[in-house]
Amino acid sequence: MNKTDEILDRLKDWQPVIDNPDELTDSIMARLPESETRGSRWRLVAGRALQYVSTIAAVCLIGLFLYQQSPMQKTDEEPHYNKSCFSAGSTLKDVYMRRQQQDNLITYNQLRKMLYEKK
Amino acid sequence: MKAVSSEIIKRCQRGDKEAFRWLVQTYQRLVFSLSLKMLCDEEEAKDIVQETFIRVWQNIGSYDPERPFVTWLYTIASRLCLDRLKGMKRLLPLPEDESLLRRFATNIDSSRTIENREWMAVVRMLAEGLSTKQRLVFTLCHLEELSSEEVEEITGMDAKQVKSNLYVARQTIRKQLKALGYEQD
Repeated sequence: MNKTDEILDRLKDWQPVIDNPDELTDSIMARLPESETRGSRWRLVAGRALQYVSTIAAVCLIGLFLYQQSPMQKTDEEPHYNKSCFSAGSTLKDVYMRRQQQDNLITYNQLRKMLYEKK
Repeated sequence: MKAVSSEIIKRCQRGDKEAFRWLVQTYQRLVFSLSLKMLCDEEEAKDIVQETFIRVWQNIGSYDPERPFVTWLYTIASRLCLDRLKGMKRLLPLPEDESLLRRFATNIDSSRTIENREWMAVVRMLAEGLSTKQRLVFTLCHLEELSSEEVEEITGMDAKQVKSNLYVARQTIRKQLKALGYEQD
């Protein structure tokens, strides 16, 4: 056996000694963070899922709200309006409200346009 | 080495600290041994032991009981050691290391107890110039006497890489001993 093998074999047999093993164990135990038990992990997963679902629902609601608030798409044919709605002294709002009562769908922009034409 | 019963693992997974204390008491010496052999510094080695068991505690829920616990423990510890080695400056031998190596090499009394300090000096002298991977493979294969399959699993290397790293490590140590006058051609 050469010297290298002899030295390496002697190193192999050696196991280091911890000077104070109990102190090391205690310090490890003291540093342990609170573990996530199976129950708390499920709660965490359920919480995350709920968070995602509520985010998607909120986005959908905002989208629906914006869609409803947007002006109606312009149709190719201009509807025939009853000019009698535009009487002297009527405000744009009055006309709009009257039109609403008559269940005649007309946009605010169309009303504005008609009012300018009258002028 | 005592095998960890699945009951102990299950208790630890449920957050039982008493079961975990048993695990620490049983395996802290093994982790200390690996980290001291890798880092050659007692305080750093103790720090690695603490970090390793904290990681074990945090990840025991995802531990696969089909896998040997010791291999898993070695994997965590060796990764921490490699990270620590990368962050440390090169492990250079201390001025008194050569005389400690001489004492170690000439004293053939196998019953003599070797102190941590003496052992670290010898390893510092011999392992100077080894890369971190060579150092890890040499420590696991030669000093911890793990099988090459276990070393492959711990290091993530294939058999060829393990073999070549071990060969280079042994050659480097041989050259080192030759330079110090202990090895003849």
